[in-house]
Amino acid sequence: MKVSVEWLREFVDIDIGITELACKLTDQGVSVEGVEKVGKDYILDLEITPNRPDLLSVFGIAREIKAMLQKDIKKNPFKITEEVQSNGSDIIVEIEDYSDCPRYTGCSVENIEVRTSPDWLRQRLEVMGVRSLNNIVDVTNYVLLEMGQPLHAFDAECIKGRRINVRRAKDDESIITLDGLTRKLDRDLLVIADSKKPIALAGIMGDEESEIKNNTKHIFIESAYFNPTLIRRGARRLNLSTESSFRFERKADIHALIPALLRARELIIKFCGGIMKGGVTDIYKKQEVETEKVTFSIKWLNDFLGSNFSREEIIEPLTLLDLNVKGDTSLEVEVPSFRRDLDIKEDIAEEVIRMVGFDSIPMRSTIVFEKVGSLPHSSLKIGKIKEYLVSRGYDEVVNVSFISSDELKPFKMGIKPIAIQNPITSNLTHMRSTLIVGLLKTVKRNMNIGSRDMRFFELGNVFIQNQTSGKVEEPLKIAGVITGKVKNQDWRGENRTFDYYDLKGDIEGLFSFVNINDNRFEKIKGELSLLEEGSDIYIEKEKVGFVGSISAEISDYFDISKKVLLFEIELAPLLNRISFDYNFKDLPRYPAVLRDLCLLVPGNVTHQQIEDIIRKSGKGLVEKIQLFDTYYNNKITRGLRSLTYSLTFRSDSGTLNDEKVNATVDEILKELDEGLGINLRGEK
Amino acid sequence: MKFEKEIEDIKNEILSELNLSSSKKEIEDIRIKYLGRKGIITQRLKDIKNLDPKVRPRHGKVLNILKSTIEEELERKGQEVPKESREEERFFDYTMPGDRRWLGHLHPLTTTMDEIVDVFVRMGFTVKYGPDVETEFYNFEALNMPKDHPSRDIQDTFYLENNLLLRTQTSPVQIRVMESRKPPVRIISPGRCYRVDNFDSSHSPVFHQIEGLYVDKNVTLSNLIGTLNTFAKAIFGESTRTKLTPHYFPFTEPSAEVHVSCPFCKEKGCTTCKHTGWIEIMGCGMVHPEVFRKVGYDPDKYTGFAFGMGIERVCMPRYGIHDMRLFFENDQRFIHQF
Ligand SMILES: [Zn+2]
Repeated sequence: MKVSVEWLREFVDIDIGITELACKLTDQGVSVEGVEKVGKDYILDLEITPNRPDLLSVFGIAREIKAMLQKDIKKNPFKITEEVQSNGSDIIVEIEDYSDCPRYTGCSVENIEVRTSPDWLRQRLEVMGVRSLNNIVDVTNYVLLEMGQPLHAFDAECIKGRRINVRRAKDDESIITLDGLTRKLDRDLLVIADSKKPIALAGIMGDEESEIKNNTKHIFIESAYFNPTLIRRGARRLNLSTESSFRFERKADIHALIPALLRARELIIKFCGGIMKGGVTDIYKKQEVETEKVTFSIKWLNDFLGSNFSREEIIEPLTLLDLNVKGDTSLEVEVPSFRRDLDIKEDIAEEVIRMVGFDSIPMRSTIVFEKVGSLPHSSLKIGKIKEYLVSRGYDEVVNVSFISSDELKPFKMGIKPIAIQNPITSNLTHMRSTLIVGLLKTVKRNMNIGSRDMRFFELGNVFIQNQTSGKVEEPLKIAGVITGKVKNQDWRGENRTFDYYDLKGDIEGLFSFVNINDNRFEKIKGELSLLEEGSDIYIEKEKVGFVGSISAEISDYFDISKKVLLFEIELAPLLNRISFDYNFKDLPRYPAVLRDLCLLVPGNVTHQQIEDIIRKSGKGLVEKIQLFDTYYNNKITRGLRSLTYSLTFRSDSGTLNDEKVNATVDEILKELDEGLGINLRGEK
Repeated sequence: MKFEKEIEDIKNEILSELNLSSSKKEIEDIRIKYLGRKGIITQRLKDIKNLDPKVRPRHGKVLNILKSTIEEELERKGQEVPKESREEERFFDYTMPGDRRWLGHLHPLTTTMDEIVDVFVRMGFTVKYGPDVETEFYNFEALNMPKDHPSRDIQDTFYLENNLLLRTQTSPVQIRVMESRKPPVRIISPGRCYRVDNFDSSHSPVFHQIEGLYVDKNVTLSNLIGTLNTFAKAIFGESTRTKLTPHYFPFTEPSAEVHVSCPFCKEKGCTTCKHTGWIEIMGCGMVHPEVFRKVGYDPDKYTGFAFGMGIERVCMPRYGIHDMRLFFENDQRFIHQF
């Protein structure tokens, strides 16, 4: 909310500089976001929190400054009194439901002359961000800014039947609002209607027909209190937030209606000519509780704040805020109608603090707890995983959780991402169901700035709708991407481009780092068309992720011309298996025996198959299987390849002799031959 | 005289090897091979003690002659060889770049989050997590933000289908924890939050928060101020001062914003603190009794404090980062600075 300091000075003496004023207001909870000099005036831009509708007016802010600077109010526009009667105006008012509109007041002025307002009035409106239209509308806006009560002026000639009915709209009704739009109405919207049809959206905006025109002669001014929830719903549904609706939503002051109305009538007669026609109409269903009271004990307040305030130290600031305080050790605070945000004793405690400052409360951090604080195990495990990846050269990235569903299409993952109903842009419309999209965009962005060698990882949740339960699940995933050279180009000349085995090695290393041994890499199943060369990753029997180089289609979609490899792994199966309760195994007591086997392997047999057979037929004596050479060449029959393994044999129960090792090797070779058609190179 | 013949052969072999050698390195290799600790001649000399005593003196004499002959030859050859053979010409440049492996960097949001968590864990708070996708109840109603209340305007919310939404703060975790157990409760909840905002230098629709909650008998505002003061000193340095200004949050009463003295200018004013000398880092307050009622705690029996801060907003002044977008762009040149 913008407010003119000159205008404020009409109500209160401000004898401090603008900067000091801004600081003091901020320290009192009325945050000053900016100060602008306009001519010899200053405009303060204030952040008014939703609990303080009383500050949505110049007078309201002046009242706050008065309390802050301990001054007196010079002039109070609310101090106007006039005898009012129920239907004193020439326009008859009826209210359909008092819970929609607890109070409606109004009066008529005739023979007015519509013209432009005097310069000073127009300037006042404009510095506070309100456009000047004509003297009548300007006056209603002036009173709104000054006193915070929204008013509406109707062309009285256009009120058919000289009757106003505050009622819900009917389903077939519509209205053309002042902004020129035709709006369909229904039972959920409150309207001001004449005897024929709606002439205003109550508390939000009037209609075109009854607006003040240049030839308007006779007006009816409305000053009402509408149900805040109803106005808020209506304004949001119609996407039409106005100065009026903003104030009604936040609860106007029901006692401000008549003073605001009379002030407006006074100013209209002054600036627009015209004479009063009839008296003031006031339809008011009084609420049961008219005055709000909050009680608390001084002991409670000091216990709650950890302070040591005396009775006087509490009463003085409250009195400055126009709160009436009675009582001795137990205090009773009477809350004025413009401060209905003060509801419970904690609210009063805040008022005291606002006035005396937080620094009058002693600082006590010494709280000794029975239990030490702790991190969940998952955090520690995640920390370990990140530590590993960073040590392997991966940079951590953080992407937003939004993607577009379009970006998922090239992956053909078969997962429908969850849509956001109100996205901010057309490329951030869905919740991510994979971390890969973000990582590929990260790669592209870095390629654009000239990076060539990259390793990135991201650890975070993705969002998936469970197909059976329909519930949204947020599994944690870890994903990584690599591209470019294994090392920086250096003088030793050792270098090559990343390939599948580099990334697979990093993943195997990760499993090994966190002591997970039952991991396997298997042929990609299903319709994942993501990878060119890759594999699925399993822990025990559970598929946990995949690794490989991205397909040409995906490279093309993300406009990445270099070879890119990536992986994505579900974190839960890892976290479930990682344990910090290490189970130490005794160091081996007997020596190991090494044997190299150079095997001729049919083309479609995998290393994994060979390893499985060696383990199975090795009778628990094979400690380690290491593949150290592999080639195809002319010396080998077409369709075969040569794999050379170094096997380490060891027994827990004694030193292995040659005889025993030879027998085991023979058994292994036999099984390899029978099971997979593998022979030793040089035989056959 | 078989032995003398054998020694003669050894001598000739050594001499011919020496003859072929052309560098200090090769000569040294020959010396080690024959006269080193495990050299052939050294070994033979050691073995003498195992021989028949009758032949010992003769063998000893012959071997010692061989040893001194070879030593002389080595010495002579050593002087003959040009000082700078090809091998020794090679200049050992100890300043050439070492073979560096890549090392990754953690994202500054991770390190900042970890540091903040660490401070509170040491103070006795326990870490709790909750989902990003929440219901109206946990994100608003239980936090004293009823439907159709203007207090909801402060946090513009992303909605999903079925009345689900993306949490606008991590406070729903506090509700979930309080629902699940009796006081005392002393937790912090780090996590990702969402608000309808466009990306600019100080806003992002996705951001990170840490919130804290302490509920027990006799928890006071004074405890809150003290705790946050301790925290600010731990993160921004021992000389940091803390200032609270009144504010409004629906779930706390009284409520305040917390400012710390600018770590860059020591309150003199600079661009980081927009020339105010202070930086706003979080919101806090005493838990609103309505929130306690929602989770079944008796507000007459228990009091509590809560606070919440944006990780980005703590990280930015700390490292002098002026644009929030940098956190989510993941430019290598950015990440490598942390
Ligand atoms: Zn500064």
